[in-house]
Amino acid sequence: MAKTIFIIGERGKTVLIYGLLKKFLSLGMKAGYFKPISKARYRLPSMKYVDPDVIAVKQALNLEDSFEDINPIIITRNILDLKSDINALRKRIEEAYNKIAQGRDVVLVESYPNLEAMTSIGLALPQLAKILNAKTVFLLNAKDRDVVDEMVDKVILHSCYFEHYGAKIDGVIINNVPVYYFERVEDVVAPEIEKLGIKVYGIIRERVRLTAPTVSDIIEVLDADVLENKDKLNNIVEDIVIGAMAPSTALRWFRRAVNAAIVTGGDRTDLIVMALETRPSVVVLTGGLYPDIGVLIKAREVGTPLLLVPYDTYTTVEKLREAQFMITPSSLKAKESDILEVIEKEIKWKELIQ
Amino acid sequence: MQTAKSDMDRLFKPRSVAVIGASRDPKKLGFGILKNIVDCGYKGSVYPVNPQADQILGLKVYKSVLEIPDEVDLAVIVVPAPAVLDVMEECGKKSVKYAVIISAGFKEAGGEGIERERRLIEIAKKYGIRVVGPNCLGILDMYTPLNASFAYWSNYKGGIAFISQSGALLSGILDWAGKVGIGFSKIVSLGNKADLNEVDFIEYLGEDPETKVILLYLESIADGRKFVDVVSRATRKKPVVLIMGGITERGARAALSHTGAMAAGGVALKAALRKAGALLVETPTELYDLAIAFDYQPIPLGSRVAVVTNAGGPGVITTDLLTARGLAVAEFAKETISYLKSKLPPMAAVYNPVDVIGDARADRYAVALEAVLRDPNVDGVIVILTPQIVTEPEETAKVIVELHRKYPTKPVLASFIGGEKVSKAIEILKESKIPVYEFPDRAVMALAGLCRYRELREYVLKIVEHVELFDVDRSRALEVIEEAKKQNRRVLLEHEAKEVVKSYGIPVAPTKLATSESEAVEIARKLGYPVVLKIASPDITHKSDVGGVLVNLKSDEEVAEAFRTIILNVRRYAPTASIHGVVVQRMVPMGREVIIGVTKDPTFGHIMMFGLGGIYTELFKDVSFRLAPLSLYEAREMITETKAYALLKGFRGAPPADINSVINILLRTSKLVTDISQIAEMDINPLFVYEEGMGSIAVDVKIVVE
Repeated sequence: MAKTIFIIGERGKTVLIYGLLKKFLSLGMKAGYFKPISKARYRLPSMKYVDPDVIAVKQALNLEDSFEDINPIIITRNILDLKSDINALRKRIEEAYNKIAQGRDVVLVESYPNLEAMTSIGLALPQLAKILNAKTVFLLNAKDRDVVDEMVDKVILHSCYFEHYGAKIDGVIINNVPVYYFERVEDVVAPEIEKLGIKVYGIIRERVRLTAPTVSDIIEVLDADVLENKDKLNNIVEDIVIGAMAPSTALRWFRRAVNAAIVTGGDRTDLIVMALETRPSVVVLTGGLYPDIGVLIKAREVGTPLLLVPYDTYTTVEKLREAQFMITPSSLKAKESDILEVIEKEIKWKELIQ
Repeated sequence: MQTAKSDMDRLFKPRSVAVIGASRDPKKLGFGILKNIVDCGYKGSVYPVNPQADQILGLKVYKSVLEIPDEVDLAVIVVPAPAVLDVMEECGKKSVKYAVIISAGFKEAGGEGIERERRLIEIAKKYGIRVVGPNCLGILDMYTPLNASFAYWSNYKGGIAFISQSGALLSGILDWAGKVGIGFSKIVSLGNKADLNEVDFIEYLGEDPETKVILLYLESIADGRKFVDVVSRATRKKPVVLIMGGITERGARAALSHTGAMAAGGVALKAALRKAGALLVETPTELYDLAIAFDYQPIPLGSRVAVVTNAGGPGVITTDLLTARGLAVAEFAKETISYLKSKLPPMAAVYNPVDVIGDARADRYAVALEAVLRDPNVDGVIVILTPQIVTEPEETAKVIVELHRKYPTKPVLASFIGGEKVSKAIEILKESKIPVYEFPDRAVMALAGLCRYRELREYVLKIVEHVELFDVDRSRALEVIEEAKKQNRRVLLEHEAKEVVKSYGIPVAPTKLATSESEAVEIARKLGYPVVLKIASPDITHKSDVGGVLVNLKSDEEVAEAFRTIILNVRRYAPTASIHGVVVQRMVPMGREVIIGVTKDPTFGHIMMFGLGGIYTELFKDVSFRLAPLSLYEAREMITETKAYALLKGFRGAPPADINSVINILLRTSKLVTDISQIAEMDINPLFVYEEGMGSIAVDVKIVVE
């Protein structure tokens, strides 16, 4: 029987699961990924709705299981209507799960983002946990609160919720702990949670970014034209900088960013050349303004990809911000070693699968 | 690649020239260039190369350069771009030393042109051929003589060398030069600067006995450091006068769009040129007026100028202009005054300017001019003439010529204001190398240039002396920087930056990073109260603006509370900033605030800045700039030239500040960024300077690395 770990909670589940899967696979274990219910965020040309996070994990890990098995239920709009079909749904989930679990040592299950989801139709998270016979681990985000102790309240509330359905929360992982909370979380909050009989499986320090889109991801999101250096699209993009000031100040500004996407108008030759001097990951030219030839020459010399988009700077930056939180196969692989370092150092992964 | 003087001689004085791409068609460049070489009087062998011709202009045409029986020193290549690479291979096999490539269609064209230029240089390197251009007008040497260009020939020999990044500018100048009588020694059109660039030519021309002054029109500088180096050496022998295209922001955009290289401009350029000892002029008029003055006249030993005029008005204006341009209006010796009083009519003015009045003939001019030239308090003279009925312009011109010959060490410049009446006189002056201008302001400007050169020539020698600093710990500084880079940061946190400058002997206020309240209290106790707490975040430049600084904390409770408050403030006002903790710093007593900064300019390297600090810094912008590495003289000069110096010296009874400690810190900062060139930016702001003997302390330090 495969050990099943059900990860519920706030932001960061997919990356955590990816890291754990990668770890288990590297140890030679047969690990599987299951996301029983997901939200439809993306519509394929074939009119099928998919959750891009699922695609990302499947492709990044090269999982053989089919999409339908990994993610059998995709919610598009209404859920109350599903009440009538509830048994069929439960059956689908069980069947898909069995296929995934077959021949596997461990299965990591990702829950729907909202913790109260599907209670109205009888498919609450605790009910799912029971169906899957899984160990439930709650992923808490430490950064979202000013009073870090509130995490304990949240754990207690959700414990009660699970107990109501005859299930229990087995453990907790505290994620994204800023440096100035770390001492308190380690010394006060975590022990308080353990006093409730809930194991703390890891305390993860805040890190700037554990996923970063690559330039090719950006090109897709922006639907951009690549003007130069089509072979350098694997650069990762960790920061977004807007160039709209005088060139003398621009240099100071651009220099501080690491692996940045510098966004500026295509007609700002002086700023573009200044930007290229600081060797960013990519330069994005807005307004559909094709740049001067001097810019193309410089870009080629420096080896920085140059993109052209029709939108204005504000829209471009908004889209780039969305892209930063996107999870794609390449964005996961880009930071693989960092993710694995987190798993190794800050998560008691051995105890997770006991 | 070093080019020894004798080597470049082969370029300017080749024994034989091959014109590859010579044409029979008079409308083609290939014909024009060949004709230029033939017509200019070149005495060496000329070999046209064109597979489709037998004879052009009476010369035998060869099918390829390889067929030429003799050695070929210089190849002028005019074939279309795609054919150039093969031609270069042939030149290589023929052991041609220099190639001037007129053809366009290389890097300036973008696209495949970039690749083509790269391959061109590969071939050139393979065979050791030095290349001028591509995409250039050509080169000219008036003494050889050789016109290997497609500009019109004007056979005016002189001492002016002109290196230009704009070919079209050159042709205009050459035609105009004939009209105004400017004589050149050598002219070079740089083109794309794919191989030989301004640095190579300046180095050569600095040693060239035929050149007395080097003029430059540049839009970009290929290697800023080398440029400063060769110019500062050339300046010791002859003036280097530069006009830069693209100095202003808008101009830079214009320049960029056709060179693709970054125009050097602004503060960095001025600092670099100062160190190089180059004269920067703002207009083409100035460029040529200065060039003529340098070519014809000696450098004055001082800046005291005498004006001799037959018209009061222009005399007064000129006097005003002298002061405006930073020249001194000479005070004559007693003997001169009494002499002039005795020899000139009573209405004449004898104190500077000497007004010989409207009815002066050549003889009165002679008296006045000789008197001022003999005066030991006069370093240079401007002679103004306006044609009245009795004026003798030509005779006066002859007088000026003779007297200048008699007293050749003091420069004489003339301004003959008029048209037809003075045209013959002007010819006489030009012939004898007395610079003559239509209006006195140009004469003043030219003379000011001569004086400025004298200052620069001395300046480059003063700044040679460097102070050696040995008590620095480079490896410690690098350690700190590497640690930050490992964490994927380019911006150092305050305590890290302070550690770096401390390792270079710069005194800092003790500072440590705390990641929790309890740690902050521990550190505060160790450092000693009172302390300051500041947010440690690479993303926040103005800490006080986001409530990230709390000062004068005197107890454990205050420190703990401050820690919490700062975190809360920063979370609210800068929610996206990444927080590494809070630094605790021991408070130091207030001193006079100054700023020391460094910015790495992409062209020239590190530019140092010194200025008045405090809350009005942004308002007054009282700053000075120099290019690193700093000499002792420059460090001192940086401070004394600011208005802040008055405050440091001691104003209204306040005791003098420890200026020597500031000089020390400037030198150490210069050494730090020179040793560790990956430091892209550095700011010590504020530096508290205490009374003389009490030193200074860096209270906040920022460092950004590449």
